[in-house]
Amino acid sequence: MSYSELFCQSNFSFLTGASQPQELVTQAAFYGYDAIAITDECSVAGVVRAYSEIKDNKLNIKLIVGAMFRLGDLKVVVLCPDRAAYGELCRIISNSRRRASKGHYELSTWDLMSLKRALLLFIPSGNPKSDEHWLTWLVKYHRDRLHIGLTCYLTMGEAHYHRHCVSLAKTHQLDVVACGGVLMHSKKRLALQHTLHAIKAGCDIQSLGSNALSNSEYALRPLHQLVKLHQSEYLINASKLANRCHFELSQLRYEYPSEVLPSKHSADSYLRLLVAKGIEKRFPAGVDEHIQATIDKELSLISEQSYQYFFLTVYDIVQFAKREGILYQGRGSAANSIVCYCLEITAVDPQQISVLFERFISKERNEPPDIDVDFEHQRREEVFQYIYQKYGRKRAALAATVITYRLKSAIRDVGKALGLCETQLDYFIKNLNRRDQTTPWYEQLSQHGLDLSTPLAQHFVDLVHEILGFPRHLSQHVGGFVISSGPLHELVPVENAAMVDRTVIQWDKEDLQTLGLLKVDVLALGMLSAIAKSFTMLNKYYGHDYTIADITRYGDDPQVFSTISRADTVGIFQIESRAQMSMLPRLKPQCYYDLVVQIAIVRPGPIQGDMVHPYLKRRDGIEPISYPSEAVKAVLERTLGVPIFQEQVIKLAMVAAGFSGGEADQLRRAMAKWQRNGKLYPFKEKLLNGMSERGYSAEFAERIFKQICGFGEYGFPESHSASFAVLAYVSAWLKYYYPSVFYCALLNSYPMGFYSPAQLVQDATRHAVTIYDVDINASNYDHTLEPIKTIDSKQQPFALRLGLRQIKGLSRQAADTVIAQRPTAGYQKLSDIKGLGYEQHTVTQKDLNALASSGALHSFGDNRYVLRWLMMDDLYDLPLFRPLAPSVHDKVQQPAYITRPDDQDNLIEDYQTLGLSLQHHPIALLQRHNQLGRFTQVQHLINIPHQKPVTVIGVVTGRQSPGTASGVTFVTLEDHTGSSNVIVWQATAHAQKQAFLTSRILKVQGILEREGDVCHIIAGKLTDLSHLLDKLNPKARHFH
Amino acid sequence: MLWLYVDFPQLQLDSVGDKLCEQQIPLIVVNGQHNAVVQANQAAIDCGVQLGFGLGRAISLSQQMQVINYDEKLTNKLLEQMTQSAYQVIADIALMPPHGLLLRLSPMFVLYDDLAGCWQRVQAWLNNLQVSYRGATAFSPQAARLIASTLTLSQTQISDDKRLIDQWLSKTPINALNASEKIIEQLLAIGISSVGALLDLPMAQLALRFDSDFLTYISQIKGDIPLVIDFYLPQTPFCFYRDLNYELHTTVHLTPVLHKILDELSHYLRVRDKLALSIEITLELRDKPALIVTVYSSQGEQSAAAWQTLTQLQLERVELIAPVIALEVNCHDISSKITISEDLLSQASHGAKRQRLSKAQLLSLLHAKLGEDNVTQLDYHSSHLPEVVNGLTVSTPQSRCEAVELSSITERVRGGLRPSYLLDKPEPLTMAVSIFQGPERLCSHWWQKNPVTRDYYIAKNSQQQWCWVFQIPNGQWFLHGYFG
Repeated sequence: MSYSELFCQSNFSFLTGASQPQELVTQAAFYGYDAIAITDECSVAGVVRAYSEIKDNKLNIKLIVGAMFRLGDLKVVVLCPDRAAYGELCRIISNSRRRASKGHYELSTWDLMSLKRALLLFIPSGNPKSDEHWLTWLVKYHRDRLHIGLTCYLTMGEAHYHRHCVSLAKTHQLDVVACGGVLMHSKKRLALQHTLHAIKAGCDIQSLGSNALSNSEYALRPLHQLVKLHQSEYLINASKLANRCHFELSQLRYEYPSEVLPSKHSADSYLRLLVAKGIEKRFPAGVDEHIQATIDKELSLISEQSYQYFFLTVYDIVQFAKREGILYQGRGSAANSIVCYCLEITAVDPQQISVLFERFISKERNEPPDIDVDFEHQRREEVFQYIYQKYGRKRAALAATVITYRLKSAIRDVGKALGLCETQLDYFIKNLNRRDQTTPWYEQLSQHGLDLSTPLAQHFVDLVHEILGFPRHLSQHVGGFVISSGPLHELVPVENAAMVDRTVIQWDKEDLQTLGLLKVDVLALGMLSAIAKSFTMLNKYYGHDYTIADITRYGDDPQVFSTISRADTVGIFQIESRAQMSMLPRLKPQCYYDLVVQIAIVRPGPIQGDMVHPYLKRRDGIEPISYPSEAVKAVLERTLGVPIFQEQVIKLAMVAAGFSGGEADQLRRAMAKWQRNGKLYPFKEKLLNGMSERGYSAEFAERIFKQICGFGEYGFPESHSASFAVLAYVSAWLKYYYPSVFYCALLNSYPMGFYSPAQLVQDATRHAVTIYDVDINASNYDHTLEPIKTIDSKQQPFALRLGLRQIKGLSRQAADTVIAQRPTAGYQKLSDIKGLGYEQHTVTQKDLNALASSGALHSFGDNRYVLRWLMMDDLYDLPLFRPLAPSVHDKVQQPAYITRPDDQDNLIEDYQTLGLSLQHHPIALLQRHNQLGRFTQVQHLINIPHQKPVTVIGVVTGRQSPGTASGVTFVTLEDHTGSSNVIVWQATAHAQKQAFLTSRILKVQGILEREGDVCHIIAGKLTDLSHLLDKLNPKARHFH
Repeated sequence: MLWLYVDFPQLQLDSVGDKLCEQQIPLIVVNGQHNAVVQANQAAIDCGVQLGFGLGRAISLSQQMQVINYDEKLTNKLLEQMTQSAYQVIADIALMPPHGLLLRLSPMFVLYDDLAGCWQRVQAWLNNLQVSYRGATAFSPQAARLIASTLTLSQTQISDDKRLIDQWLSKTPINALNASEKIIEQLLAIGISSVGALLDLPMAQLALRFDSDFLTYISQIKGDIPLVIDFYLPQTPFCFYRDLNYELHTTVHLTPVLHKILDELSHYLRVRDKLALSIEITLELRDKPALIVTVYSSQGEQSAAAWQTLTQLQLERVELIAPVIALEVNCHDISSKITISEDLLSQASHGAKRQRLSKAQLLSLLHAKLGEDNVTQLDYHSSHLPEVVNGLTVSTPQSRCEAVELSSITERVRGGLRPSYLLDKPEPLTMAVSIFQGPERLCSHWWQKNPVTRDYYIAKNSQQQWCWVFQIPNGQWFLHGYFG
């Protein structure tokens, strides 16, 4: 006999369904069902996963797309027999979702009335009056497409319910269709379903009472059971209904918007025209045969795969950015495309790297290319608005991201559902060490009081495991846009995101990839903002007009690379981290390509794949470079025989093992997830055999495979690294030649990068940049440049004036008002500033307090306590007293009862209000007061020999415990002369936990280790000195 | 006027007991709502824990760290108990939640001679409590509180020297003030870091900058404005002892004596506008241990007549093993008057004056007559398990009679049949039955010790009775009820 399940909810009916869509289709196929409909509540978010599972595993079952809806008492399942019906379904889902807040929906009767093609399954509630009312109404509009769905759960009163349903069917002459109302693929999921229900209801399982499912009959059931439960006529009706459904997701064809096409051009001709223009621009000296051949190949493939519109759409977006002066750069696999380079989407000259177009598009990939474009982060919203404006909100929406249960959220929610105390759950979670790969999480918890022998604990562990990876809700992707020629809601439902005026589709990027739908990633990058601002300032203050292309055209500047090699890279894109700074003096980049390697090599992939040391040794001439063949040499020569980039692995598979481009790309995708799904091993045999057939030794082949495994998902594509290297070089160039401009731009682009404003300002000072205090009569909102007041050849010609934006607690509105109302000669009286609060609603007392405490009013007096005191006084607001208010030209009266802040007080106020201090560094201050004893300043570490004891003291500015570091923590300490790197082994950290975890000022006694120009301190004794600042003048506040 | 403020910052920790402390295990009390450590023992402090740390930060400092959830109710209860015992020593005490007591010392000098004598008594009492404390004296309650809050555990600053007290006060850091974070922040931002510096500020200038509540607070610290204090007043329980001049051999003869005492009780309650929830009658017997009879009222009673009835019913069940020579009636269980709402429209028909009892009164009578354990009531519980849904629960004297919403039950069982007679416990099915309807499958309570999996059927037995039976997975059959 045959059966088709027409009513089934997956876990994309959030916190209701207890099985993944993949599990449902697999189980249904196992039971021999002919078809299964995934009908989540007002959603098709799960159907693509079901589709993908069937396709990948060649399951012998048909997938029917549908959704379930509720409207008061009405419960109805809508099924899609064809494409048109699918469009209807998407439309009503979109309408329902858009009417309500995120995560909810409001179906209207009009939505149901408007269905003309979809099939409907009415699920009676059991209330005769209500059922009669709804059925009469539905029959009126959908007689030929309406059926009654009969569920059988073996619950109380079911016989009566069945009689009622049959009676309804007879009265209205409708077919009764057997259906499962399935919520799980297996009966064993009942406990999980109860747990999800409890989480949704916000109570524990016990409290659900009779609201919980009474049994596990809400699971998929084998055919022999269904035969016993349903009459054969109803089962046959289900199959008949399923046979009317022919719609498949593969029918979804992506139609790109056509606005991008000028008249008299086809997509193909226009693309070729643009590429031709681009060739002239990008290759003024002409292209060689190889490049031309690659271009032709790309265009041909693009045409074959009908991707022309996609490229034109992205081209249109970047042209908008260009017109508006918004900096952008394409990256990722798109940088492998010369067509993208010609279209000015990417900035990497393919002559500088080895492009692999198959990494971007290939026939075997059979999926659209993925183009990521970074824009200035502060102006990305303009690009978003352009897209919305051009295509309309009906045709453009962001892709979704599925937020799933991770371990901590699973522990918390499952624990609460089982009635465990919340404080105890917090305790468990805080004690969990996710980096401990050897001890499973539940064993870690058992060390903290979870008694694994109790049934409750066993349930807890099992349920947490089951719920991991379950979707909780949809969120918006960071910038992945889907744009279509027709209304998007006919392709995929659209719903409200949390942000105002944002809509998302119900599919994530993987779903889009599966279906071959196109996504344009409009991403944000802080460094692009900083570079754009730098260019603007260079124009304004120096009269120089630069672009990224100009700077790269100058070629490799040895002076710039010299500073990079010295690891003087604070603020520089991609190479400013502690790990990068440790590598730079070893690798000593001298050219652009060295930077490309530098960025890619300091990654977990190459580290775990054991590529780093061989590369460095070969670079230093310690180890000989050898290649087993010329073909391999061609692939690995530029990285000295060591595979560092993903593309190299792919190319090796192609040249050494005979993989086709597409097969090699599949290998790359398997590499990305192999640690999770082990799908790399099927490739091992092909790789080893292929290499063996081509004469490579088994040892070489095994080594390559081992490196592939080590690479995993953490390897950088060369093209990606190359794109980043352009920005890294440009930022280094700017820092070297125009440090004032560079730091000013960085600070104005904050938050971004690795370092705090305090650290950037310290670094700027070390690079001879003069910093001026924030001043109400001189500062703008943003940081600006000013010619320095006293000419000093050792200082940069322009000083950096801190802007009002640096003041914590000062609102943007207030800052704008202060600037707008500022007289040409500046504010002369405190009362004028105070008056802003009185007259302007945009300036509050809090703003005035912030101005006073930050020192911005220092032109009225050098005692910020008094200034704050005066600001708090509303006496001078009264017109009678206003003339008596202190002016710039009067000395501010110092009341006897208000003290004068000393150095430490000012330091603390600076950090509290500005997050930095220009006067003193805490370490310098403590040293001046002889509080620190003997220690070595960072600038003098160069004089300490290798493996000698050393004592350093500094402010703790960073603690990092990378996953690859086996429990080691890298601590960065800063004094007034620079930063030092301290390595704290796990045992040291455990033994001195308090000092390790809570110090703000730390003293480390250890051993200095030097390797070339790189030095670290291996920590021995840790002493917390944070109290010393309090001791100078006991106060409750901390600077940090 | 000299005040003493005693602070018990580790009240909940101290109540945990010595075991963990002896074992030197670090222990913290965490207020889950604010995610902050509010109490920490020495072992935890030695690990580096500070009050105010978040849970994660605190437990990262020691793997042995034990965590207790902050229980405000428990802390209040402990404080009340301490207040009651302090009343033996000092007349004027006020509770200062969450963990402080304020004692007015000056009037006690008459009794204890001077501060030293007074403090000696207080200290003895404190040491007897075996809880951690710190304390300070000052000439205003707020000042005493401030000074005490900055001391370490077991530290005290006891003096009646005004200069010394002013010195202590002036050194107190500003963040000890009982003021909002915003105000403290403002004070620090103008360089005021101690209470002394704050008190030096002219009030007129402060008035231009701070609100009146804060100014009042400063005045209270200075002692310029008194703090309104609710001093503790112990409850005087009702206790009436009556020595009989003759022996009473039966409880019947106790009635007239009790009636008079209950009249006194009623007067006592009326004056205080309170209700008694229970009374304890102690019957002193000749040559035998005293017999204590407790009489309860579910809703509380004030009237003598009501108590007389309840008492009579209760005493009817009492067997005297010896003659009664004296009796005492105590009443500790008192509550404020509760309004019992009655449905006005469901009054008896047509002028007939009926003596109506409220449900609670009826319950009290039944308890008195039959004994507490013998009075049970039908309760509806939302559950799939039949024995839980319609269970009988013992209704205690303290329980309220709440009407169960019948409509919710009928809604639930619509279309479904449930037996009129449900067996207390399912019994193995021993007779042959014919199945007519089912199964109704039940899989529930997997989270408890005994999960339930049953297939229920409606069946008819050989005596033509409609039975409710079920089968469990191992094939066994049970009878659970009969349909009426």
